[in-house]
Amino acid sequence: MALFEGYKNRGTSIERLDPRTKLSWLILIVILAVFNSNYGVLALLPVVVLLSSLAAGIPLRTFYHPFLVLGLAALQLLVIQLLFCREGYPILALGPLEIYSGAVPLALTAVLRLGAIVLAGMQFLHWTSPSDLVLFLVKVGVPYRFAMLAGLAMRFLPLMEHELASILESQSARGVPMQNPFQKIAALLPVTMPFLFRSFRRAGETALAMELRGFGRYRERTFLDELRITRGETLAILLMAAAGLLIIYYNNI
Amino acid sequence: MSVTTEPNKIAKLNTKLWRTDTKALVGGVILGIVSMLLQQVSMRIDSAIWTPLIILGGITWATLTGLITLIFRQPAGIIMGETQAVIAIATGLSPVALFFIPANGLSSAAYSLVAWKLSMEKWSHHFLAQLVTNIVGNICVGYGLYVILKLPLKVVIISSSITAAAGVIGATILTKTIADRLHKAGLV
Repeated sequence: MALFEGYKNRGTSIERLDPRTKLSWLILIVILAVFNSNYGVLALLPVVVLLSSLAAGIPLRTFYHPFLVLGLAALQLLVIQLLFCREGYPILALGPLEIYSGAVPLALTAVLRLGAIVLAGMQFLHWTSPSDLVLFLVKVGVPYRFAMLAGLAMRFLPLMEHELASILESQSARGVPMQNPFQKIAALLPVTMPFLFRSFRRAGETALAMELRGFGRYRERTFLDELRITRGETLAILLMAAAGLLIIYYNNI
Repeated sequence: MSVTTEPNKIAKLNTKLWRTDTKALVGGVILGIVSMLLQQVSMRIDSAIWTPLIILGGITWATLTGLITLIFRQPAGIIMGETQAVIAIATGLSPVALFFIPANGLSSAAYSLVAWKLSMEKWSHHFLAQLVTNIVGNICVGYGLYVILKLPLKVVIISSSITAAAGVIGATILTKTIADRLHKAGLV
């Protein structure tokens, strides 16, 4: 399965929103996750992100991989907190190991926090088109030669992923063993080197092709589309900014 | 007839701190994707061996940060780091991917400062550059682990130190070796 299937235009009203509105939403979720310690709110954040993604037409299977990663991270965090946390009072003693009452709440807070941040970050990049991202960066004053790179990254990811897969298959066909973890470590260099060399060659070829099409020839350039923000969206951004500031203020006093 | 040795070629590349030609910018983006994909492979192997330690992932990250900053300089190094961080967030590669944003940017800037001041002809120069890069990067990630994930300080220090130590040793050898080979192949 591809890591990042890329942006798909699903034609929903949420998707048509200005990238500034979507970015404000992402920042608000991150602020809530980082500054707030209320379990109810923290547990609600991933649910809100998933529901809003569904409303934008993003299927839930998009979030399958991060859920696996988060599950593994949750297990690790729980084990680490059980072993090392010294907050609260001892609730269990297993020989030299003492488990404290603060371990599970700390692990739970961390997992919920991570879940909200990871899912909101993914959501932003799945419902914002690469071209909108470029237009947004240009709008905030980033020179277009740099702004265009954001779109380039999203377009090149599936290509490079395919290239790595073909190198892995080629090396495997040549008899490089890749069964157990130690064989995989030994196989890292024979896979990495051709991949790196090909990528450097691709970078040179792409840059040449772009320059031949006039990339960077002029200081300014025009775009086919233009970002238009509605009054409602401006109001929503202001409200989200106010909410974010209030959350930071009340959690720091 | 004089023969230009490989280390001299690397030194010639490092006379400037800034490089904004299209090849450097595009190279930063493409190598950012490469970095993320290679880290995905190496982190999977890390998890299969002993999950809490990110040794191979750390070596891969430090090698590519050094290599791109050394060859394409800035802002390509930062572009590479941020591309890798943003894609890692978008694909849910790691639960600590958000901390990669400051870590990658600052460590690349630190590497380029060392590479700018030194000729990068000797192994010791590469070692010093990687030492600074790994310390800066691991402080950023360690801070995130401590403040946001509330991990015990002892765990953060031990895991960051092991990752940084492996990164410095592994990446010093790999950065110099790969950079020399890339020059020999005429790709940079």
